[in-house]
This record gives sequence, structure tokens and C-alpha cells, in this order.
Amino acid sequence: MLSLVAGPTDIVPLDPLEAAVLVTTSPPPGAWGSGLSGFWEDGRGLWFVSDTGSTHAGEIYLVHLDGKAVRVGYRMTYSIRGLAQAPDEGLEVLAYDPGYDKWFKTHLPVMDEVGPIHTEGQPGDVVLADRYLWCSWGPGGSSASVSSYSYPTSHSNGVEHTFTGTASGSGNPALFDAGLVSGHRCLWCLDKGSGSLLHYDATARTEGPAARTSLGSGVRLAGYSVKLGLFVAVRRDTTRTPNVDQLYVYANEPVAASISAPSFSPAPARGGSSLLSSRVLGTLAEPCAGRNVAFTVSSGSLESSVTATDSEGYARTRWFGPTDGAPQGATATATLTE
Amino acid sequence: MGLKRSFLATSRVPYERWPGGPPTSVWEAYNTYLIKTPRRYQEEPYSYSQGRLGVLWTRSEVTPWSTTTVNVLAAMNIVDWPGWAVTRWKFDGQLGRYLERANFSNMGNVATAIGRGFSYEPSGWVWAFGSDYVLHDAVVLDESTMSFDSSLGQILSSDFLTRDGGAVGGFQDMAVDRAADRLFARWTMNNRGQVSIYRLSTKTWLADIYAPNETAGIVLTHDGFVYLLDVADWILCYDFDGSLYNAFKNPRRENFPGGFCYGWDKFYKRLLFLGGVANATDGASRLRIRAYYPVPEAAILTPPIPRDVPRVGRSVVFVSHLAGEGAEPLGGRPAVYTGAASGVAVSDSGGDYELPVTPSAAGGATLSLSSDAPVTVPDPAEADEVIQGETLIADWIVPQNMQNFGPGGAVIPFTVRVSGAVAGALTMNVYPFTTGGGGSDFTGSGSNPADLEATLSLIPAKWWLFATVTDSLGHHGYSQRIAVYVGGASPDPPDTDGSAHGDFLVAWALPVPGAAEPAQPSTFIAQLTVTGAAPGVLQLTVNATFVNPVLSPVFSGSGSDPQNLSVAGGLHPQSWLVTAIVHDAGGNMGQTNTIAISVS
Repeated sequence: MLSLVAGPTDIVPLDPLEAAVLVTTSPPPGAWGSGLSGFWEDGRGLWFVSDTGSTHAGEIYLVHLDGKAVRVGYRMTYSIRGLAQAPDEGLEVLAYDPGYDKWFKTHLPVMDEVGPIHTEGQPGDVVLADRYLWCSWGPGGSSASVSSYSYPTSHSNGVEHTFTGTASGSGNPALFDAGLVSGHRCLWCLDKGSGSLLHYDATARTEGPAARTSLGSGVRLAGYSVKLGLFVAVRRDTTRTPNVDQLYVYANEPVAASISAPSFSPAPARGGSSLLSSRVLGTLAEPCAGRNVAFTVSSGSLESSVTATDSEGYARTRWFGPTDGAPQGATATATLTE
Repeated sequence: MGLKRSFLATSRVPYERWPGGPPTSVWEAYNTYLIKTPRRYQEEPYSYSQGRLGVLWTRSEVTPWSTTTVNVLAAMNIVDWPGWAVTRWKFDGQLGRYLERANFSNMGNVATAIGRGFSYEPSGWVWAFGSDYVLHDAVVLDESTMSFDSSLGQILSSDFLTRDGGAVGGFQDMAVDRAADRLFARWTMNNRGQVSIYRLSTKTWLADIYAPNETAGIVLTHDGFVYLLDVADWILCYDFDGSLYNAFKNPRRENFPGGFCYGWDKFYKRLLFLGGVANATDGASRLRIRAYYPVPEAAILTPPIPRDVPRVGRSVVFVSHLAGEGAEPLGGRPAVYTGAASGVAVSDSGGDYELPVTPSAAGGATLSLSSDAPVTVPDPAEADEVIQGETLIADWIVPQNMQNFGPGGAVIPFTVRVSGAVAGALTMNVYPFTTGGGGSDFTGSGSNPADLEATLSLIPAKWWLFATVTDSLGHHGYSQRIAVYVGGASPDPPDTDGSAHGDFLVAWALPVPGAAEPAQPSTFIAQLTVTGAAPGVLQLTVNATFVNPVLSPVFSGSGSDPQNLSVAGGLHPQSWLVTAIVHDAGGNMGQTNTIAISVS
């Protein structure tokens, strides 16, 4: 579970003439998939299509980190079910129209056609990058997976990767750009029902290096800022009438949930030296890096009593065994200081 | 983005006034609804009722003050036949002083302009386009002859297809640059905010662009940019291939009652703007041309958010975002932050600030950010001076219509209140007439614009009166026409019973049943109910005419029953307008409404 650093903040229209704006995540029956709701664009904000009940339903908005939503695009001739991302095409948005079975690449509010690109089924979300249209799958409790189509030839490359041990929620996972990691295109795959967040290396076509984590449940829409390293998520507050969508901002840093008992390697011995280590993990066993751990020992001395965890969540220090007549052995305690 | 005003025309867009002052003939003022104000035929922009306001452009022309002019072309609504006109005004391009105006002389072509829009081509041509079932095309306006001339340029909508290969219908909005080989069109088959871009020579569809709302004009610049305006005051800037450069809202938007239009000043590189403004109380035009430079303007500054979880001793970067009203990021803007940390930051190209903070203690802290970004600068106070003298308002202070002014020959005072006049002497002419003749029976003068008084001596009859006023600068005004009833020869006796009746009689309802289409020859019976009469004999006169509104007595009668006063007379086969006038014993008078009767 990632760390919440801001929010929840009500999403409200910037224009006072627009009384309400709600985020669409559930297209009408028969529409395309259950995702395609939006994404984050650095320098602009969170793109989405407004829901029924909004002052301008079915139109395109941008929401900023303070929850201010700006209506930026008129409802197109084509019935747009959702927006997706094309980070490296000199474009901003992909939009899908189920009525015409076409994908559009758009630099809103300019519209141009990508396609048509036909897919065998209804992906949860797509990202157009590196001359591929990446699609996410996995409705009905099946495992989340990613497939791709060559762009612009529409050639299907089939399912590239299945995230083992996952069981997506009621809808297809969302997919959004995670940027380039060591030259590899990476994507985030989000099960919006459970909030599970999976990292995918689209270049190597394997699960990415980042650990599996979560944004928490109830997410209607999410995005990731490659530039800022922040996740944004939208949840609906149904306790209020009318309902209000709220923005949550998460740092790419899991919440620490456990710290392991410190261990000596090798076993402590009088006059000896051992490496004393402890590991900090999140609820999904994500390593927690950069956390300060304080060590205390019943005998002997420490090279450093407080050390920070590394990228794997390990905090390490060196223990020096007593050389006087102290009892054989030692007891160590590790404490997460903050 | 916002708009910073850089130009405000000195002169307003004037309505046409009566040439040479007010008419002296009663007949010219006969249909006074035509000359409610000195605006000739109550001229005002056609867009005040429907359609677009017009089009703006600049030209290289030598004026007494500069070398450029700003031009306005608009369809006008007038009450004179045929009810419309197309007018071009010219203003100095530096100061905005009014220079001249010209009207279309080709009335047949004027008719085709109504309901259309106008568009200006950067090369110097004005186009008119329409979308009704007849006029699907766009035609060039020949400014030298003020007429439409398809030989100079014509674009047939039937030559184009939508992005999906369908018929386009007609133009809802358009702009063309033949030198750049581009056509921008919102077709009737497009969505309201959808503009299609074509290569004009090959009729090839290139792209579609979308405004958030219905388009309200497409303005092309001389250097290859498109400003797309919509009804909610979004201003979207593209290049000629449809790539978006900027999108922002006009922060000065307001409700323009007659719509608005934009144009491009190619000399000073600014957006020209003309917004509809309600007429002044005296009917004068308040339209005035403005020009703006688009400037960056902040509308959103998000609170700082940490990129990592803040902890004691840990350096954490907070981020904040600066954007305009169109969500466009604003880069290069300095900001000062204070609180948990302090310093100066500058927004990057994405509009983001990065604020490093190293908390020194656990617990909450405040981080405040203040950006040095421009916001909307109010327009300089506009001296909306009193538009005095353009149109004087002359209002009768006496009650209008159905007023008994007693016996004929008496001195009857009238007072006219004048407003809008400049200080100085005023003159007033009062014109009474009964059967179409008339003239100036009174000429007076005064220096008090509040009240001008006149006295008349009129014989017993129903009179029509109107007054003209002129101030010291030669500006004119008109009163509304009023009806005045002058009673019989005997003096109007005072009411003896102390009741309040008698000043106005209220007479209702002609005709009796069956009189709608009486056969000829017929005995026409007028029957009415009178209220407010003094006790005694009532005198009834029925006037009938087929030339409105000069009524001639046709028969008369008397009675004492105010509930059933009737009189009979004959009418020839004709469509008649009939009015009844009643007098009571106190000499007071009333009048029915006028009804139409057809005698077969």
C-alpha cells in the first residue's frame, strides 16, 4: 500500500458556471470495456470523461492536484467511452468510439484517427507507445495480462505476459505509462477494484522490477506522473448527496507494515564481528527503502546505532562482540524510528 | 491565458441619423414608430435579434491620424422596408476615430446576407456564407461596390466531404485563406464545436478540430494561425494544419446581448473585438471596438504536495503546479515560498515548482507559496460618457390618450421633458394635426432641458400631437405621438356632486352581436358600456374609417343608460375601423378601443 501524501480533495469545476463534475469509470452497457477512463499527463493533469450527472456530461476534463477541474474538450461526434495515453507519439490522448469501432489519436481538441485498430475483445485500457498499442486484460477474476498490437499495422502480437497470482476485480485493469526504466518502456497495470498495482516491462515483456503494491480499494480512476513520481487516484464519496469524486495523491513509497527481527551473520561471538540486519516491508511485502532503523544490543557495540534501509528494505549495521568477561551471546532489537 | 487590452476606439460605431435634422412635415412623422429616436428607422445590428454581429478587419489606408483603418461590417435591422441593410464602418487604426460608413446599395444581395455570417480572408477579402436550405455556399464581397460577386470568389459546399465521406450540408462557420490553400469550415453536418480543415485546391480533408462549445467565429491571422472562438468565450489557437498551440478562456467574458465578433489586426498583431451592448437609454449605439493581446495568465496554483513522505531530517521535494484557465502550464514564473522552508523557485516548462524541504521536527508544518504570475488586469476605466446630443428624448408629461382638454379655443398647456441635450438653448416645435394636414402651431425655446412648455389653442376635435426638440448643437429628438381630445364649445362645468368621476370615461366593447359582418345596406348598432360617467345624458359618437387612423363621424346618438348605450348607422361594404367616443353631462370624454368590422 502506497503512502498517501495529499487528499482526499473534492474535485470541483474551475468554472463556477459548471456546478458538478463526476468521473466516468463505468461506460454504458455494451460499451467498450470497463476502463478507458483517463490518465495523468505531466504538465497538464488528470484527463477523464465526465459522468452522467455532471454539468457537462460526456465531455473531457483535466483535473489538477488541488482538485480543480477544467473542461477542455467538447463532446466529439464520436461517442467517446474513455481516454488513454500515447506518451511518445507527440500526442496527448487516445480515445475510443465503440459505435464506429475506431481508435483516435488526439491532441485535444484536435482529433485525428489512429486506426482503425481492432482488438479481439474489450481491453481494460490501452497505451500507445513505441509503435505498439498495449492492452490490459483480466476481467471476472482472471489473472491480469498484457497484450499488444503493432501500430499502425494492427498486427496482433498476442498475450505477452500474465501476472501470475493475481485475480482482477470486476473490471479490466487500467494501464498507464510508467516511463523508461534503464531504457525499457514500463507500464503500470492497476486493478481498480482491489487497488493492486503491477509493474510491467513492455520492452522485456516481463513483470517489471518494481514490487507489487496497492493504491487501496475503491479506485475509480488513477494515473501516474512519471515526472513527479506520484500516483493520483479518484474515489467517490457516496456518503454525500450528490456524490462527490475526490482526489488522492500517493507517493511511490509503500507504507511500512512490518519490521523483521534483527539477525546476526555470522552468529555473534565474543571478540567477533557480525553483520546485524533487519528488513522493513509493506503490507504486500513491498520493500520499504530509506526508512531509519535503530538497533540496540545487550552486549557488544555497534558501528552505527541508526541506519537507513536500502532499496530492498534492509537496514544493516556491524556488531562487534565484547572482549571482556561479558556473557557469551547478545540480544539485538531493531526499531523503525519514523 | 488572458487578454490584455491594447486598444479602445475613440468613437463608437454610430447608427445612422436623419440627414439634415428632423422632418418638418407632419407626414414624415406620421408613423412615429419609425422614428422613435433619431436613429433612422430604428437601426441597430441584426444580431440583436438573431445571427452574428459581423466581421472586423484592418486595412492599410492613410487617415488624418495614422496609416491603417479598422473596418466593421454588419447586417443591420431597420424598420423601414425591406427591414435590413448591410453596413460597413471605418475607423482610424491608431485612435479609433470614426471615419465613414457605407451601405450596400444592391438590395437583392443584401437580402442574401441576412442570416449569414461574414468572414475575413487574410489576403483582404470579405466572405459571406450561409447555411439555410438555399444558401450553402460562401461568396466574396466586393468592397468597392458593396455587393456580393461570385466571380471574385466562391466556395461550393457541395465540393467537400466530411471526414467520413458524407455530405457536409452548408456552412455554419468558415474561414478561408486561398494563398495558404486552406479552408476551415464548420458544416451543418459537423458537431457544434467541430471545424474541418481542408486543402482548398484539392478539397482534401486534413483534420478536424474541436472547440469546447459551439463555434462563434474563425479568425485567421496573416502569419498562419487560427483563432477559433466559441460561444462560451474559449479562444483556441492552432496552426493551419490543426495543431493546437494554446487554449484559453477570455476572462473578460460577459453577456453580450447582440453577440460578439473577433478579428485580426495584422499591423499590430492583436485580436480585434466587438461585443454587442444594449443601446443607450436614448437609443444611441454603445458599440465600441476593442483590441487585445493574448497574455499568459494564472488561474490555478496548486498547494504544495510532497513527492515523498516527509520525515525528520529527510530532504523532501514538494511540488506545486501553475496553470492558466485553459489548463495550460505556465513556465518561467518565479514564486516565493515560506514556512517549513523558504526560498525562491521558478516554474519549469511544465508549470511545476520544486520546493526542497527538510523537516527538523516531527509534527505538522506549513508551506506557503506565492507565485508572481500575472492575473487579469482590469481594463482601464472606460469613460462611458453621457451620449448626450445624439438623441434627445422628449416625453410628454401630460397623460397620453383619452384626455379631455375642455372646450375648444382654450389655452391648453403642454409640457415636454427633454433629456440628453447639451447645455444651452433648446427649441421645441409642436405639431398638431387631425386629418393629415398640420404644421408647426407652436415654436418655443428655453434653456431648461428638464421641461419645455408650450400652449396651444385647438378647436374641438381629436388631435394628434407630437413635438420635436433641438439643442444648441443641432441634435434632435422626438416625442411620441399622443392623442388629445378637445371637448365641445361649452366650458367644462365642474362636477357638482363632489364625486371623482368624469375625468376619464372608460368605454368598452363594440360591436353588438351580429355586427361582425353585417349585410349591406345595414343598420349598424353600436352598443357599449360606459363607466365613470357623471349622472345625466350621455352623448355617443361613432367614428368609422377605412384609412387608419383618421376617423370620421358616421353617426351619433345619446342615452342615459351607461350600461346599454347604443346608436345606429349605416356602413357601406368595406372593412371598417370603428371607434366610439362618449361624452357625459359634465363634458368629460372617453373612447373605446378601435375594432375592425367587415361589411359585406
